[in-house]
Amino acid sequence: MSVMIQVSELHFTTDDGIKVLEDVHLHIDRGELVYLTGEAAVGKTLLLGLLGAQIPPQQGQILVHGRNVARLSREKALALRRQIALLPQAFVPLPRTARENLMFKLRALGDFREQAEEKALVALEMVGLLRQQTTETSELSAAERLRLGIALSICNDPLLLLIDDLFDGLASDEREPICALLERMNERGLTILAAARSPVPAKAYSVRVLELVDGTVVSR
Amino acid sequence: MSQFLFVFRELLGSIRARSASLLAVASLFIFLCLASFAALLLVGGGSAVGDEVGLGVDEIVADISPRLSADAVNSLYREIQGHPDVASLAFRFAQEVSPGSTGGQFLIRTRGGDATAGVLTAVGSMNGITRVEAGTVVVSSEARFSLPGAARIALLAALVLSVVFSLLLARGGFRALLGTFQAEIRVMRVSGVSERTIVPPVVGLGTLMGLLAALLLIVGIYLAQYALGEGASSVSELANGGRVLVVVFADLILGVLLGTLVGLLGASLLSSREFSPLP
Repeated sequence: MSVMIQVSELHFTTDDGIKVLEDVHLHIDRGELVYLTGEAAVGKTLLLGLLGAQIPPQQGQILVHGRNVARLSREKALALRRQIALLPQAFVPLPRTARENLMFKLRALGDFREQAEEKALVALEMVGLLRQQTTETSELSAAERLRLGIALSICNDPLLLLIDDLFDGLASDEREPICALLERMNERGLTILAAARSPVPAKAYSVRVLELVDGTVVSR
Repeated sequence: MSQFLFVFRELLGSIRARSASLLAVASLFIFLCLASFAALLLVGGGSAVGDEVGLGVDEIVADISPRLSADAVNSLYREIQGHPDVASLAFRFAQEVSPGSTGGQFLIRTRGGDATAGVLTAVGSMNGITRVEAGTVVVSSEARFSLPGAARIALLAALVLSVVFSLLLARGGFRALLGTFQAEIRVMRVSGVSERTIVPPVVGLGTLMGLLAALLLIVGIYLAQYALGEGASSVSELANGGRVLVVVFADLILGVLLGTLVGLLGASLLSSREFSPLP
Protein backbone atom coordinates (compact mmCIF):
# COMPACT_ATOMS: atom_id res chain seq x y z
CA MET A 1 0.00 0.00 0.00
CA SER A 2 1.54 3.38 -1.02
CA VAL A 3 1.80 6.33 1.31
CA MET A 4 -0.63 9.25 0.94
CA ILE A 5 0.53 11.43 3.84
CA GLN A 6 3.91 11.32 5.50
CA VAL A 7 4.63 13.99 8.10
CA SER A 8 7.80 14.10 10.13
CA GLU A 9 9.21 16.49 12.72
CA LEU A 10 6.56 19.08 11.97
CA HIS A 11 6.62 22.19 14.14
CA PHE A 12 4.46 25.28 13.88
CA THR A 13 4.54 28.41 16.00
CA THR A 14 2.03 31.26 15.67
CA ASP A 15 3.01 34.91 15.26
CA ASP A 16 2.29 35.29 19.00
CA GLY A 17 4.95 32.69 19.77
CA ILE A 18 2.51 29.92 20.74
CA LYS A 19 3.79 26.49 19.76
CA VAL A 20 0.74 24.82 18.24
CA LEU A 21 2.40 21.81 16.65
CA GLU A 22 5.46 20.18 18.15
CA ASP A 23 7.30 17.34 16.53
CA VAL A 24 4.27 15.91 14.75
CA HIS A 25 4.73 12.56 13.00
CA LEU A 26 1.92 11.19 10.89
CA HIS A 27 1.64 8.38 8.41
CA ILE A 28 -1.52 7.70 6.40
CA ASP A 29 -1.62 5.13 3.62
CA ARG A 30 -3.51 5.55 0.39
CA GLY A 31 -7.08 4.29 0.75
CA GLU A 32 -7.17 4.77 4.54
CA LEU A 33 -9.92 6.43 6.57
CA VAL A 34 -8.55 8.16 9.64
CA TYR A 35 -10.22 10.31 12.30
CA LEU A 36 -8.18 13.00 14.00
CA THR A 37 -9.73 14.03 17.27
CA GLY A 38 -8.83 16.65 19.80
CA GLU A 39 -10.21 19.43 21.93
CA ALA A 40 -11.13 22.77 20.39
CA ALA A 41 -8.21 24.98 19.35
CA VAL A 42 -5.51 22.33 19.64
CA GLY A 43 -4.35 22.83 16.05
CA LYS A 44 -6.49 20.43 14.01
CA THR A 45 -7.47 23.15 11.52
CA LEU A 46 -3.84 24.22 11.24
CA LEU A 47 -2.67 20.67 10.60
CA LEU A 48 -5.30 20.15 7.91
CA GLY A 49 -4.40 23.52 6.34
CA LEU A 50 -0.75 22.40 6.21
CA LEU A 51 -1.65 19.02 4.73
CA GLY A 52 -3.96 20.67 2.20
CA ALA A 53 -1.15 22.96 0.97
CA GLN A 54 -3.19 25.98 2.09
CA ILE A 55 -0.70 27.05 4.76
CA PRO A 56 3.05 26.93 4.11
CA PRO A 57 4.94 24.83 6.70
CA GLN A 58 7.58 26.43 8.92
CA GLN A 59 9.63 23.47 10.01
CA GLY A 60 9.51 19.76 9.28
CA GLN A 61 8.57 17.71 6.28
CA ILE A 62 5.13 17.11 4.78
CA LEU A 63 4.85 14.68 1.91
CA VAL A 64 1.43 14.42 0.33
CA HIS A 65 1.02 11.97 -2.52
CA GLY A 66 4.83 11.85 -2.69
CA ARG A 67 5.25 15.60 -3.03
CA ASN A 68 7.06 17.77 -0.52
CA VAL A 69 4.54 20.51 0.24
CA ALA A 70 7.25 22.92 1.45
CA ARG A 71 9.12 22.80 -1.83
CA LEU A 72 6.25 23.16 -4.23
CA SER A 73 6.17 26.05 -6.63
CA ARG A 74 3.01 28.18 -6.67
CA GLU A 75 1.67 26.35 -9.71
CA LYS A 76 2.45 22.90 -8.33
CA ALA A 77 0.85 23.82 -5.01
CA LEU A 78 -2.29 24.79 -6.92
CA ALA A 79 -2.21 21.53 -8.84
CA LEU A 80 -1.86 19.63 -5.56
CA ARG A 81 -4.76 21.58 -4.05
CA ARG A 82 -6.95 20.36 -6.87
CA GLN A 83 -6.12 16.80 -5.87
CA ILE A 84 -6.69 17.42 -2.17
CA ALA A 85 -10.25 18.27 -1.22
CA LEU A 86 -10.39 20.32 1.95
CA LEU A 87 -13.77 20.87 3.54
CA PRO A 88 -13.18 23.79 5.89
CA GLN A 89 -14.56 24.24 9.38
CA ALA A 90 -17.97 25.95 9.55
CA PHE A 91 -18.53 25.35 5.85
CA VAL A 92 -21.22 27.66 4.47
CA PRO A 93 -22.57 26.67 1.06
CA LEU A 94 -23.27 29.24 -1.60
CA PRO A 95 -26.80 30.65 -1.50
CA ARG A 96 -27.92 28.60 -4.49
CA THR A 97 -29.34 25.16 -5.06
CA ALA A 98 -27.31 22.11 -4.06
CA ARG A 99 -26.54 21.25 -7.69
CA GLU A 100 -25.55 24.82 -8.54
CA ASN A 101 -23.04 24.78 -5.68
CA LEU A 102 -21.22 21.87 -7.27
CA MET A 103 -21.61 23.29 -10.76
CA PHE A 104 -19.97 26.52 -9.65
CA LYS A 105 -16.85 24.80 -8.38
CA LEU A 106 -16.56 22.51 -11.38
CA ARG A 107 -17.06 25.27 -13.91
CA ALA A 108 -14.57 27.53 -12.11
CA LEU A 109 -12.10 24.65 -12.40
CA GLY A 110 -12.67 24.64 -16.15
CA ASP A 111 -15.35 22.00 -16.80
CA PHE A 112 -17.95 22.66 -19.45
CA ARG A 113 -21.59 22.84 -18.42
CA GLU A 114 -22.61 19.30 -19.46
CA GLN A 115 -19.52 17.75 -17.95
CA ALA A 116 -20.01 19.71 -14.72
CA GLU A 117 -23.66 18.74 -14.53
CA GLU A 118 -22.83 15.07 -14.93
CA LYS A 119 -20.14 15.16 -12.24
CA ALA A 120 -22.40 17.14 -9.91
CA LEU A 121 -25.17 14.58 -10.12
CA VAL A 122 -22.77 11.70 -9.48
CA ALA A 123 -21.40 13.44 -6.38
CA LEU A 124 -24.86 14.32 -5.08
CA GLU A 125 -25.98 10.74 -5.53
CA MET A 126 -22.93 9.51 -3.66
CA VAL A 127 -23.74 11.57 -0.59
CA GLY A 128 -27.49 10.86 -0.79
CA LEU A 129 -28.61 14.34 -1.86
CA LEU A 130 -29.84 13.60 -5.36
CA ARG A 131 -33.43 14.35 -4.42
CA GLN A 132 -32.41 17.69 -2.94
CA GLN A 133 -30.41 18.77 -5.98
CA THR A 134 -32.72 21.69 -6.73
CA THR A 135 -33.24 22.62 -3.08
CA GLU A 136 -31.86 25.97 -1.97
CA THR A 137 -29.07 25.45 0.54
CA SER A 138 -30.84 27.70 3.03
CA GLU A 139 -33.54 25.03 3.25
CA LEU A 140 -31.11 22.17 3.95
CA SER A 141 -30.60 20.78 7.46
CA ALA A 142 -27.17 20.88 9.12
CA ALA A 143 -26.53 17.24 8.20
CA GLU A 144 -27.59 17.85 4.61
CA ARG A 145 -25.32 20.88 4.40
CA LEU A 146 -22.44 18.72 5.60
CA ARG A 147 -23.29 16.12 2.97
CA LEU A 148 -23.36 18.90 0.39
CA GLY A 149 -19.94 20.06 1.58
CA ILE A 150 -18.62 16.53 1.17
CA ALA A 151 -20.17 16.32 -2.32
CA LEU A 152 -18.60 19.67 -3.17
CA SER A 153 -15.24 18.36 -1.99
CA ILE A 154 -15.29 15.11 -3.93
CA CYS A 155 -17.03 16.22 -7.13
CA ASN A 156 -13.75 16.68 -9.01
CA ASP A 157 -12.40 13.25 -8.01
CA PRO A 158 -9.68 14.17 -5.50
CA LEU A 159 -7.11 11.73 -4.21
CA LEU A 160 -7.44 12.85 -0.62
CA LEU A 161 -10.34 14.28 1.37
CA LEU A 162 -9.59 16.40 4.42
CA ILE A 163 -12.59 17.39 6.55
CA ASP A 164 -12.31 19.88 9.37
CA ASP A 165 -14.64 19.77 12.38
CA LEU A 166 -16.68 16.96 10.91
CA PHE A 167 -19.55 16.81 13.36
CA ASP A 168 -19.89 20.54 13.98
CA GLY A 169 -23.54 21.42 14.52
CA LEU A 170 -24.77 17.85 14.14
CA ALA A 171 -27.08 16.11 16.59
CA SER A 172 -25.65 12.92 18.11
CA ASP A 173 -27.98 10.72 16.06
CA GLU A 174 -26.80 12.40 12.84
CA ARG A 175 -23.15 11.55 13.40
CA GLU A 176 -23.11 7.80 12.78
CA PRO A 177 -24.76 8.10 9.32
CA ILE A 178 -22.00 10.56 8.39
CA CYS A 179 -19.40 8.04 9.57
CA ALA A 180 -21.14 5.43 7.41
CA LEU A 181 -21.04 7.78 4.43
CA LEU A 182 -17.30 8.31 4.87
CA GLU A 183 -16.79 4.55 5.07
CA ARG A 184 -18.70 4.07 1.81
CA MET A 185 -16.57 6.67 0.06
CA ASN A 186 -13.45 5.14 1.55
CA GLU A 187 -14.47 1.74 0.20
CA ARG A 188 -14.37 3.31 -3.28
CA GLY A 189 -10.69 4.07 -2.72
CA LEU A 190 -10.79 7.64 -1.43
CA THR A 191 -8.28 8.45 1.32
CA ILE A 192 -9.96 10.45 4.08
CA LEU A 193 -8.66 12.31 7.10
CA ALA A 194 -11.53 13.75 9.13
CA ALA A 195 -10.87 16.00 12.09
CA ALA A 196 -13.48 16.16 14.82
CA ARG A 197 -13.77 17.43 18.34
CA SER A 198 -13.64 14.74 21.03
CA PRO A 199 -15.50 12.57 21.64
CA VAL A 200 -16.23 10.88 18.30
CA PRO A 201 -19.01 8.28 17.88
CA ALA A 202 -18.24 4.68 18.63
CA LYS A 203 -18.56 3.81 14.95
CA ALA A 204 -15.48 5.89 14.22
CA TYR A 205 -13.39 3.48 16.27
CA SER A 206 -13.93 0.77 13.66
CA VAL A 207 -11.17 2.58 11.74
CA ARG A 208 -7.97 4.33 12.86
CA VAL A 209 -8.43 7.20 15.31
CA LEU A 210 -5.64 9.63 16.15
CA GLU A 211 -5.67 12.40 18.70
CA LEU A 212 -3.93 15.74 18.60
CA VAL A 213 -2.89 16.51 22.14
CA ASP A 214 -0.31 19.03 23.35
CA GLY A 215 0.70 19.71 19.76
CA THR A 216 1.50 16.08 19.02
CA VAL A 217 -0.44 13.34 17.23
CA VAL A 218 -0.97 10.15 19.23
CA SER A 219 -2.87 6.96 18.40
CA ARG A 220 -6.12 6.08 20.17
CA MET B 1 -11.15 31.87 -21.61
CA SER B 2 -14.29 29.94 -20.70
CA GLN B 3 -13.22 30.05 -17.02
CA PHE B 4 -12.71 33.81 -17.25
CA LEU B 5 -16.11 34.31 -18.82
CA PHE B 6 -17.77 32.03 -16.30
CA VAL B 7 -16.27 33.76 -13.27
CA PHE B 8 -16.90 37.17 -14.87
CA ARG B 9 -20.57 36.33 -15.39
CA GLU B 10 -20.87 35.04 -11.83
CA LEU B 11 -19.21 38.23 -10.58
CA LEU B 12 -21.69 40.36 -12.52
CA GLY B 13 -24.49 38.23 -11.08
CA SER B 14 -23.34 39.16 -7.58
CA ILE B 15 -23.89 42.87 -8.18
CA ARG B 16 -26.49 44.22 -5.77
CA ALA B 17 -28.06 47.67 -5.39
CA ARG B 18 -25.30 49.09 -3.21
CA SER B 19 -22.37 47.88 -5.30
CA ALA B 20 -24.21 48.77 -8.52
CA SER B 21 -24.85 52.34 -7.43
CA LEU B 22 -21.27 52.86 -6.18
CA LEU B 23 -19.75 51.41 -9.32
CA ALA B 24 -22.14 53.42 -11.52
CA VAL B 25 -21.15 56.66 -9.78
CA ALA B 26 -17.48 55.66 -10.07
CA SER B 27 -18.04 55.16 -13.82
CA LEU B 28 -19.67 58.58 -13.96
CA PHE B 29 -16.55 60.11 -12.44
CA ILE B 30 -14.41 58.27 -14.98
CA PHE B 31 -16.68 59.81 -17.62
CA LEU B 32 -16.19 63.28 -16.10
CA CYS B 33 -12.44 62.75 -16.02
CA LEU B 34 -12.44 61.77 -19.68
CA ALA B 35 -14.74 64.67 -20.55
CA SER B 36 -12.38 67.13 -18.82
CA PHE B 37 -9.48 65.57 -20.66
CA ALA B 38 -11.31 65.84 -24.00
CA ALA B 39 -12.32 69.44 -23.29
CA LEU B 40 -8.72 70.35 -22.51
CA LEU B 41 -7.53 68.78 -25.74
CA LEU B 42 -10.31 70.11 -27.93
CA VAL B 43 -10.85 73.62 -26.66
CA GLY B 44 -8.51 74.25 -23.78
CA GLY B 45 -5.46 75.00 -25.87
CA GLY B 46 -7.04 77.82 -27.85
CA SER B 47 -5.27 81.09 -28.45
CA ALA B 48 -6.23 84.54 -29.54
CA VAL B 49 -7.22 85.22 -33.12
CA GLY B 50 -4.20 84.60 -35.25
CA ASP B 51 -3.17 85.44 -38.75
CA GLU B 52 -4.27 82.14 -40.13
CA VAL B 53 -7.68 82.48 -38.62
CA GLY B 54 -10.63 83.21 -40.92
CA LEU B 55 -12.37 86.56 -40.61
CA GLY B 56 -15.43 87.05 -38.49
CA VAL B 57 -18.57 88.73 -39.79
CA ASP B 58 -17.50 91.97 -38.13
CA GLU B 59 -14.03 91.98 -39.64
CA ILE B 60 -12.61 93.53 -42.78
CA VAL B 61 -9.15 93.31 -44.24
CA ALA B 62 -8.01 96.14 -46.51
CA ASP B 63 -4.80 95.83 -48.56
CA ILE B 64 -2.80 99.07 -48.91
CA SER B 65 -0.92 99.91 -52.08
CA PRO B 66 2.87 99.56 -51.58
CA ARG B 67 3.35 102.82 -53.44
CA LEU B 68 1.79 104.91 -50.69
CA SER B 69 4.03 107.05 -48.55
CA ALA B 70 4.00 106.79 -44.77
CA ASP B 71 2.05 110.03 -44.52
CA ALA B 72 -0.56 108.74 -46.95
CA VAL B 73 -0.94 105.54 -44.90
CA ASN B 74 -1.33 107.64 -41.73
CA SER B 75 -3.95 109.70 -43.47
CA LEU B 76 -5.86 106.61 -44.54
CA TYR B 77 -5.61 105.23 -41.00
CA ARG B 78 -7.17 108.38 -39.54
CA GLU B 79 -9.86 108.42 -42.22
CA ILE B 80 -10.93 104.84 -41.52
CA GLN B 81 -10.69 105.33 -37.79
CA GLY B 82 -13.01 108.28 -38.15
CA HIS B 83 -15.75 106.14 -39.65
CA PRO B 84 -18.61 105.87 -37.12
CA ASP B 85 -19.07 102.13 -37.61
CA VAL B 86 -15.43 101.20 -37.04
CA ALA B 87 -14.85 99.80 -33.59
CA SER B 88 -11.14 99.13 -33.86
CA LEU B 89 -8.38 99.35 -36.37
CA ALA B 90 -4.97 97.73 -36.63
CA PHE B 91 -2.17 98.02 -39.12
CA ARG B 92 0.18 95.24 -40.06
CA PHE B 93 2.91 94.95 -42.63
CA ALA B 94 2.22 92.74 -45.62
CA GLN B 95 5.34 90.71 -44.76
CA GLU B 96 3.62 89.56 -41.60
CA VAL B 97 0.95 87.96 -43.72
CA SER B 98 2.99 86.74 -46.63
CA PRO B 99 6.79 86.84 -46.78
CA GLY B 100 8.08 88.73 -49.80
CA SER B 101 5.01 90.95 -50.05
CA THR B 102 5.20 94.69 -49.76
CA GLY B 103 2.82 97.28 -48.48
CA GLY B 104 0.50 96.71 -45.58
CA GLN B 105 -2.97 95.77 -44.38
CA PHE B 106 -5.60 97.34 -42.21
CA LEU B 107 -7.50 94.93 -40.03
CA ILE B 108 -10.80 96.61 -39.28
CA ARG B 109 -13.35 95.48 -36.73
CA THR B 110 -16.77 97.03 -37.21
CA ARG B 111 -19.40 97.64 -34.55
CA GLY B 112 -21.31 94.58 -35.71
CA GLY B 113 -22.06 92.35 -38.66
CA ASP B 114 -24.77 94.75 -39.91
CA ALA B 115 -22.29 97.60 -40.18
CA THR B 116 -19.75 95.60 -42.14
CA ALA B 117 -21.23 96.20 -45.59
CA GLY B 118 -21.22 100.00 -45.19
CA VAL B 119 -17.68 100.11 -43.92
CA LEU B 120 -16.60 97.73 -46.70
CA THR B 121 -18.00 100.07 -49.36
CA ALA B 122 -16.52 103.16 -47.76
CA VAL B 123 -13.04 101.68 -47.32
CA GLY B 124 -13.08 100.05 -50.76
CA SER B 125 -13.65 103.43 -52.41
CA MET B 126 -10.69 105.08 -50.68
CA ASN B 127 -7.61 105.93 -52.73
CA GLY B 128 -4.65 103.70 -51.97
CA ILE B 129 -6.75 100.68 -50.98
CA THR B 130 -6.14 97.93 -53.53
CA ARG B 131 -8.43 95.21 -52.13
CA VAL B 132 -10.98 94.82 -49.38
CA GLU B 133 -12.39 91.62 -47.99
CA ALA B 134 -15.19 91.26 -45.53
CA GLY B 135 -15.39 88.43 -43.06
CA THR B 136 -17.56 85.42 -43.53
CA VAL B 137 -19.21 83.35 -40.83
CA VAL B 138 -16.15 81.15 -40.71
CA VAL B 139 -14.33 81.60 -37.47
CA SER B 140 -11.60 79.20 -36.57
CA SER B 141 -12.23 76.67 -33.87
CA GLU B 142 -9.30 78.02 -31.93
CA ALA B 143 -10.94 81.40 -31.83
CA ARG B 144 -14.44 80.17 -31.20
CA PHE B 145 -13.65 77.63 -28.52
CA SER B 146 -10.59 79.02 -26.83
CA LEU B 147 -10.89 78.95 -23.07
CA PRO B 148 -9.52 81.46 -20.61
CA GLY B 149 -6.71 80.31 -18.36
CA ALA B 150 -8.96 80.01 -15.31
CA ALA B 151 -11.29 77.66 -17.16
CA ARG B 152 -8.35 75.51 -18.20
CA ILE B 153 -7.18 75.30 -14.61
CA ALA B 154 -10.72 74.41 -13.54
CA LEU B 155 -10.81 71.63 -16.14
CA LEU B 156 -7.48 70.32 -14.94
CA ALA B 157 -8.72 70.36 -11.35
CA ALA B 158 -11.93 68.60 -12.42
CA LEU B 159 -9.83 65.95 -14.15
CA VAL B 160 -7.70 65.26 -11.08
CA LEU B 161 -10.68 65.30 -8.70
CA SER B 162 -12.62 62.96 -10.97
CA VAL B 163 -9.77 60.45 -10.89
CA VAL B 164 -9.59 60.63 -7.09
CA PHE B 165 -13.37 60.30 -6.63
CA SER B 166 -13.65 57.49 -9.16
CA LEU B 167 -10.94 55.54 -7.32
CA LEU B 168 -12.54 56.12 -3.91
CA LEU B 169 -16.03 55.18 -5.09
CA ALA B 170 -14.77 52.19 -7.06
CA ARG B 171 -12.98 50.91 -3.97
CA GLY B 172 -16.24 51.09 -2.03
CA GLY B 173 -18.15 49.52 -4.91
CA PHE B 174 -15.71 46.65 -5.29
CA ARG B 175 -15.68 46.10 -1.52
CA ALA B 176 -19.47 45.76 -1.57
CA LEU B 177 -19.40 43.56 -4.67
CA LEU B 178 -16.67 41.25 -3.41
CA GLY B 179 -18.52 41.05 -0.09
CA THR B 180 -21.43 39.38 -1.86
CA PHE B 181 -19.00 37.24 -3.89
CA GLN B 182 -16.94 36.27 -0.83
CA ALA B 183 -18.26 32.70 -0.49
CA GLU B 184 -17.58 32.00 -4.16
CA ILE B 185 -14.01 33.28 -3.83
CA ARG B 186 -13.46 31.05 -0.82
CA VAL B 187 -14.80 28.03 -2.66
CA MET B 188 -12.56 28.75 -5.63
CA ARG B 189 -9.49 29.24 -3.49
CA VAL B 190 -9.99 26.14 -1.39
CA SER B 191 -10.59 24.16 -4.58
CA GLY B 192 -7.24 25.16 -6.07
CA VAL B 193 -8.63 27.55 -8.69
CA SER B 194 -5.73 29.69 -9.85
CA GLU B 195 -5.52 33.37 -8.95
CA ARG B 196 -5.21 33.90 -12.70
CA THR B 197 -8.81 32.80 -12.90
CA ILE B 198 -10.04 34.75 -9.86
CA VAL B 199 -8.32 38.12 -10.32
CA PRO B 200 -8.76 38.96 -14.04
CA PRO B 201 -12.59 39.13 -13.93
CA VAL B 202 -12.36 41.75 -11.17
CA VAL B 203 -9.82 43.78 -13.15
CA GLY B 204 -11.91 43.18 -16.27
CA LEU B 205 -14.95 44.71 -14.61
CA GLY B 206 -12.96 47.89 -13.95
CA THR B 207 -11.71 47.92 -17.53
CA LEU B 208 -15.28 47.52 -18.74
CA MET B 209 -16.35 50.50 -16.60
CA GLY B 210 -13.62 52.64 -18.16
CA LEU B 211 -14.43 51.43 -21.65
CA LEU B 212 -18.13 52.17 -21.26
CA ALA B 213 -17.38 55.65 -19.91
CA ALA B 214 -15.08 56.31 -22.87
CA LEU B 215 -17.62 55.03 -25.39
CA LEU B 216 -20.33 57.17 -23.81
CA LEU B 217 -18.10 60.22 -24.11
CA ILE B 218 -17.25 59.43 -27.73
CA VAL B 219 -20.95 59.23 -28.53
CA GLY B 220 -21.37 62.53 -26.66
CA ILE B 221 -18.61 64.22 -28.66
CA TYR B 222 -20.10 63.15 -31.98
CA LEU B 223 -23.61 64.10 -30.86
CA ALA B 224 -22.31 67.53 -29.84
CA GLN B 225 -20.64 67.87 -33.19
CA TYR B 226 -23.89 66.93 -34.89
CA ALA B 227 -25.99 69.21 -32.67
CA LEU B 228 -23.77 72.22 -33.29
CA GLY B 229 -24.21 71.45 -36.98
CA GLU B 230 -23.76 74.08 -39.63
CA GLY B 231 -23.61 76.95 -37.20
CA ALA B 232 -20.44 75.54 -35.85
CA SER B 233 -18.58 74.51 -38.91
CA SER B 234 -15.52 74.97 -36.78
CA VAL B 235 -16.21 71.59 -35.25
CA SER B 236 -16.12 70.19 -38.75
CA GLU B 237 -12.81 71.88 -39.13
CA LEU B 238 -11.63 70.05 -36.07
CA ALA B 239 -12.80 66.80 -37.56
CA ASN B 240 -11.24 67.64 -40.87
CA GLY B 241 -8.00 68.25 -39.13
CA GLY B 242 -8.30 64.83 -37.52
CA ARG B 243 -8.32 66.42 -34.10
CA VAL B 244 -11.57 64.88 -32.91
CA LEU B 245 -10.34 61.48 -33.99
CA VAL B 246 -7.14 61.95 -32.03
CA VAL B 247 -9.09 63.04 -28.95
CA VAL B 248 -11.51 60.14 -29.32
CA PHE B 249 -8.63 57.69 -29.58
CA ALA B 250 -6.81 59.26 -26.64
CA ASP B 251 -10.01 59.14 -24.58
CA LEU B 252 -10.51 55.48 -25.39
CA ILE B 253 -6.98 54.63 -24.29
CA LEU B 254 -7.27 56.77 -21.15
CA GLY B 255 -10.67 55.26 -20.33
CA VAL B 256 -9.35 51.72 -20.59
CA LEU B 257 -6.24 52.58 -18.56
CA LEU B 258 -8.21 54.35 -15.85
CA GLY B 259 -10.76 51.52 -15.75
CA THR B 260 -7.99 48.95 -15.46
CA LEU B 261 -6.47 50.96 -12.62
CA VAL B 262 -9.86 50.94 -10.89
CA GLY B 263 -10.10 47.19 -11.48
CA LEU B 264 -6.63 46.60 -10.06
CA LEU B 265 -7.64 48.59 -7.00
CA GLY B 266 -10.67 46.29 -6.64
CA ALA B 267 -8.53 43.20 -7.15
CA SER B 268 -6.14 44.35 -4.42
CA LEU B 269 -9.00 43.78 -1.95
CA LEU B 270 -8.83 40.06 -2.73
CA SER B 271 -5.70 39.71 -0.64
CA SER B 272 -7.71 40.50 2.47
CA ARG B 273 -8.05 37.74 5.09
CA GLU B 274 -11.81 37.70 4.70
CA PHE B 275 -11.35 35.94 1.37
CA SER B 276 -9.08 33.28 2.82
CA PRO B 277 -10.63 29.82 2.59
CA LEU B 278 -9.54 28.89 6.10
CA PRO B 279 -10.89 30.55 9.24
